[in-house]
Amino acid sequence: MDQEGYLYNIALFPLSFTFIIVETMNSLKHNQAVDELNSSDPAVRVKALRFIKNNIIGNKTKKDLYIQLDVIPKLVKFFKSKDTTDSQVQIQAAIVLGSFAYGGEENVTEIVKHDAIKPLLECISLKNDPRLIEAAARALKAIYKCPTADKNDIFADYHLRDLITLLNPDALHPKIDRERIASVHTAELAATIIARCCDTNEQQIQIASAGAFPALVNLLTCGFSKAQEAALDALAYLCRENPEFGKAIVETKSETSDSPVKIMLNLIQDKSPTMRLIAAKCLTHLSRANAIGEYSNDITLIVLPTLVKLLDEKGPVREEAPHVLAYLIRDNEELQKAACDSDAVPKLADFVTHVVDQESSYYDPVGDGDKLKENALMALAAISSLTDDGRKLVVEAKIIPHIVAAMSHRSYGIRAAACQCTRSLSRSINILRTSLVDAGIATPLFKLLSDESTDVQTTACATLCNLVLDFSPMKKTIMELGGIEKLVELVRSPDNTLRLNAIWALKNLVYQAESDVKEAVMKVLTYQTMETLISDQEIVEVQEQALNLLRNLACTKQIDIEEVFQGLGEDRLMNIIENKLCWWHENEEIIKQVLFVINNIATGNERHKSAIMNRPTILTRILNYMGHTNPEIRVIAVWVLINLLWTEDKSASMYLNILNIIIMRFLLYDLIFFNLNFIKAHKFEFKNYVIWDLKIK
Amino acid sequence: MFAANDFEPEFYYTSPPPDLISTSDSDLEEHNNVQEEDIETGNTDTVDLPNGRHYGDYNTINMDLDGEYTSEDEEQRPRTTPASPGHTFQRLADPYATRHYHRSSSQRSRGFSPLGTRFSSLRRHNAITSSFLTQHVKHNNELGKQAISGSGSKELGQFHLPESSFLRAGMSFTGTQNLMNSQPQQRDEEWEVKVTVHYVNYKTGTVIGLMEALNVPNSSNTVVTYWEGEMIDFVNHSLWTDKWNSSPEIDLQHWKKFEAFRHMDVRSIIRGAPTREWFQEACQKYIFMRWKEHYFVNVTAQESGLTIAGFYYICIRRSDGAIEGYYFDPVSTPYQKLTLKPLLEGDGISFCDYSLN
Repeated sequence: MDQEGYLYNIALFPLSFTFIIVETMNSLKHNQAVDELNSSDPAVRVKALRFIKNNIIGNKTKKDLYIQLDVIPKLVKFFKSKDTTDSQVQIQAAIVLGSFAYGGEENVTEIVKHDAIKPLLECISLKNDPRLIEAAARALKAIYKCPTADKNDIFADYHLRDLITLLNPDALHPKIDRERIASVHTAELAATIIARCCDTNEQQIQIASAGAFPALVNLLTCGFSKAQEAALDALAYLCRENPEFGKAIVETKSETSDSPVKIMLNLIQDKSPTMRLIAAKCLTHLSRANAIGEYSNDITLIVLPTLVKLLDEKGPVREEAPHVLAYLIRDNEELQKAACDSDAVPKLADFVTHVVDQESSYYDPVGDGDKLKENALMALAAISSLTDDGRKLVVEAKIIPHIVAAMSHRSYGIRAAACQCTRSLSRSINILRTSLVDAGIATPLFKLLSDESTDVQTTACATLCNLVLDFSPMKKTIMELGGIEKLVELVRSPDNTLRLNAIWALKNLVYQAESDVKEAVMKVLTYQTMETLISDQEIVEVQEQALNLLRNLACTKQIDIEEVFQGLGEDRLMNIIENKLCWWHENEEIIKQVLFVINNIATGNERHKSAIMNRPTILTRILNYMGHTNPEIRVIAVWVLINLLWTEDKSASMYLNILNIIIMRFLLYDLIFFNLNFIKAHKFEFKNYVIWDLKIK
Repeated sequence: MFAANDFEPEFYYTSPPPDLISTSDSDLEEHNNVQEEDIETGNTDTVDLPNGRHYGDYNTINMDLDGEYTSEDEEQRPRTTPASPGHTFQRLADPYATRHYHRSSSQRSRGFSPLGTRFSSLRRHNAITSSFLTQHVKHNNELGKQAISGSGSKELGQFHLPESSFLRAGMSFTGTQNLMNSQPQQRDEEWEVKVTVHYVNYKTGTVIGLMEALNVPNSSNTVVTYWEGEMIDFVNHSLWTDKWNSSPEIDLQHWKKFEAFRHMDVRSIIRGAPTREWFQEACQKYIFMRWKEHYFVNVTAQESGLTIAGFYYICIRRSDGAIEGYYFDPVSTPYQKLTLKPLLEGDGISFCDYSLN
């Protein structure tokens, strides 16, 4: 690549010979340095390594050049030799590897490819030269920054134990100040490595059982801010979505008398914004893990305001703060209200509107501005996810046009975040009917259903669920764009969440819909597919939504009920119901939906009612559900009975029939009289003998 | 919503307001004579004189009543005394007559007029009523508190409003809105109304829906409006509206029209007498709400021929889902009655549902 680069230079700048000559001479030097790595003289090797190190630090082009010269396997080889007499070579080699790793993801891939991780892990053993340990840890830290780096090796052998030992700065027995600083730095590196190797629950468990908590909690009070930050970060990742570990951390005894949370609450008031951010993040993770206990007020009074204040900072802190904020308040109405009361929304809205972020664009000119915008949108989505107050503030910030624009952004993260914002806003029926319509959200959103990213598709589909409701002015637009066809296509997706959101949207689409809309949906979806979804093998929520779809189809008009009877056939329909009632009796959501299906069918004509009456199993179940512990289920069961008994037929033979069945089997006098009173309230006429008949039985 | 364009202002100039007579409460009717006299007087007053004297009148009456409160226990006071509650509140209802008189046609047709921009006469009236309540606070702090925040969450403790099958998303109701007219030559104005509830949240006490007005007098359009409602759940919302130009007196006048309140002494309500037990019992049978229309859905305010400046006091009966409502808007005919029943299209009641994602 560099060779190509020179040719390119020559072609473009024929006059800059001097430059080329210098470069060519340098190039020779680099080749020479690589050659010298093979020298048998350790002094030559060290000299060459130093030369390479000085060239590549902070210089991406040089890093690329040396990787082209295939220097990495040579470096790795230094660690494999058993000759440890000259640790200088290994120290320099580790520094050079670390410097490569700082160059970015491709470099790390290259390093990992040549099996450098394992030898570097060997270096962090306590028996080694502290300077080697430090250099290797630094390289590992850079390697593990890359999310694709393989993290299995660290969990093998004694590496975790070694790392955790290093968390104690005294483990290396520093004697003079310089050594002391180095050992704290090593502890910081160890903590950072731990933080970066905590992606899964499995990894959390392994790290925790190697004894990380006390070591990290002690590091919190070491007095060196970088090490404290690293310890906070590691603790944050160890308790992420893990209530058990959250509790364990909170209960860890520190060397000082303060509890870990107390220490963190001190650190969150540090003068360094980075420290404040990481402390806020750690407390956020503890709070999300329900481990904060007695300190929950401090989350509202200290952590949340700190995060909002950090939005005024610069660079990475400002970029990360909205992300932590979004995570903190997600699913928590109280904290969302508190966020509304702060001035978070205007600040975040400002990021969405003006996202020029120049200062943090050293390696990746577009990356950081995008990240800030994405995180700001996620935070706005979180603030407006549960409360109308939050939604109003977002609307008042006048950023909806920017959200719409962000839905076509080149970064999929921003598209998904913008979609998430729209989703939160669309949960307010008022906003759904006004601001979102005015902004013309339907068409751009609909396009995202076909996005290349499944994340974006899923969020778009979730948002669409709210847009296709009968009271949404956008329902018509979406249907004209081919919404039914698109949703049916997504219903067949192998992705569970996408399938769920698609069937959810179809269910909402037929809510309160006219018969022709119901018919149009079923023509594309087919009753066959609906039946398959009702017994979806993967997730029960899909079954629930599909049953709700069936319930909405069979709602309101008798012709709609008849349509379902025609579409599925009476036997098949009743079999579905019977099957669900018998096999899903422990799932209350399923029971509710099935009972609603039965209820709606029971509002049909005599044939429809009879279809239920002809199934003793179904009837028995319904009557049993009248004694269910869940009041909602009891109510629906009673409604089924009310509707079954509801007939305009004056001879009431059907009515008597039903009563007889119920009374003979269950002797539910009270219930029958309740129903009678209800029906009387509706001014239905019954012949006296019906009442009389009831009384004598 | 209220038909704004079907009446000419002159109607009110030339005849005593008929609505007051026709809409008076059952237990107020015995005072009809007094009431009519009052109205006559009130009308003459306002025609001949500026507002000042007229409202001075009210002030005097209120002060009198306050005095009575201090000297006599509510429960023991005979109901047939001349200054009985019915009388008082009819007097307080009286300003409707003057409001119609003061109302200009431009103000009537302004469907979206901000609530703050009301006539000074009305503000004065409110000022008087609030001083009326303040007197109570002075006289009996404890009871006064109950009167104002009364029927609110504190007094009712852990009150829990049970859900109703009829008040849920997807339920539709049909019926009429009535402009009761006691003038023999005028037919009762009435138009068909369909209401669909689209959102119910018992936790926040919120209801949202659409209201459709068909065959509106003097309008060819079907008019759909978007409304948001508050359930009187004594957690999020109390009996007192405290906005939309209402006052505790106006609230009481309207609540009194519902059967649940019918046998209750108005005075006892204002003194905080409706106890927790009473409300809990009432809420086993009814759900009380306020519905406020926010905008027109299918037409502009001008096209609609209606005004949505006011709001409805609503009561839904749990046993059969029947809804009764009274429209309040200081510049509209008082006590327009909304009567709705669940829409039945099959042999029974079916339930559809959606969920926000």
